[in-house]
Amino acid sequence: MGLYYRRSVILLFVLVLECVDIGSSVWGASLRGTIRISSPYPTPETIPIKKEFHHCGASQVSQKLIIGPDGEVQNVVVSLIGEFKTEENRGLTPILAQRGCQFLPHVLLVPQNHPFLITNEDPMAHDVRAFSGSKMLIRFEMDAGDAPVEKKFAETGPIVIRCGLHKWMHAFIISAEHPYYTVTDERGEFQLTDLPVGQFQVKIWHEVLGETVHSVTLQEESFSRLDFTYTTVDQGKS
Amino acid sequence: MVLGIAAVSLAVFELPVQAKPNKTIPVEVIVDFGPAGKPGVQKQVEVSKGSTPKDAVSTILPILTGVACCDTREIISIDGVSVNPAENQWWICQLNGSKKVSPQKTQLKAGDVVQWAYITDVQ
Repeated sequence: MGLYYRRSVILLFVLVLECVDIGSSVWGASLRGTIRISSPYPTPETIPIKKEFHHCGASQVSQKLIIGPDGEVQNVVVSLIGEFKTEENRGLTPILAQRGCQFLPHVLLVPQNHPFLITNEDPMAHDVRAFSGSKMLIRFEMDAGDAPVEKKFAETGPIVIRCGLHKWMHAFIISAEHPYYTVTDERGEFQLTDLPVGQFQVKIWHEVLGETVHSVTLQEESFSRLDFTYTTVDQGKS
Repeated sequence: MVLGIAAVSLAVFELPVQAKPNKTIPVEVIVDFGPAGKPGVQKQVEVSKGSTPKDAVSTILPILTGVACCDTREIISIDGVSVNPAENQWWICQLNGSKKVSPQKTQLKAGDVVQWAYITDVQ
């Protein structure tokens, strides 16, 4: 009887601990929002293709600025500013594909020092180069049918990926130093969950529209909202 | 006797200087800042024999070298205008109108025209 009692107490203790753990992860602070651009919306840039157009097409719509029907902006990076504890196990390996003479996705989040894969799904060679600012970090060629190549970056921030053979091809890998990063979808929407509670600065970054910082108050067990509308476009950038 | 040895030593010491004078050649250097929007530069300069297109531009404007594509000695900045991979903007070099030149290796000849252009590359 005494042994049975001790086991019950231990079991109860474990259940209490699990409840606390579940509660803190499910009911942590969250941040949602939509990123838009004010009208008139810029016309999407069309790039005429002069080489390998049999596979790449006669032209391609630039992936630099993708705007929805109501001004929703895709591929905007939203992140908390600050130093946060990082997790060791970050799940799946992100993949940057070369498909149809484009890098897909155009903006890919990768945790700092975390491996990611680059694939070549095209029936032609590509020459992959990665830059942090003006410094080239890696360069390698991938023939058609080559196995995926695994890389990782110690650098943080936006890393430009380019193909040296097809100059219009580019993408950004966002090498994230903490988990609180996300990218807007085709509806311009983003959502960050399991956030710490308190006052924080949030950075909004887009490769053409630029960077802006906003203050938010994140509260336990509630969704905070941050909507932002870009009002100007630097048309000089191409 | 002592004077004689001293004279011979001096002569041996001086000989290399007389045999290798610092010869220069005239070249024209043109820098086009293109989309960076700065006024271009065009100058006739004297460069040491054996100089390269990279050496030539460095006589008139400050440069920075690094890896922009393929070589650690490439120019990544001229007069503060750096290559910009995000915007696909690079420094390219032409010698007498030809792109078949190695900016770090080709030795210039008298009368050569070196052109550095900052361009946006989309193809």
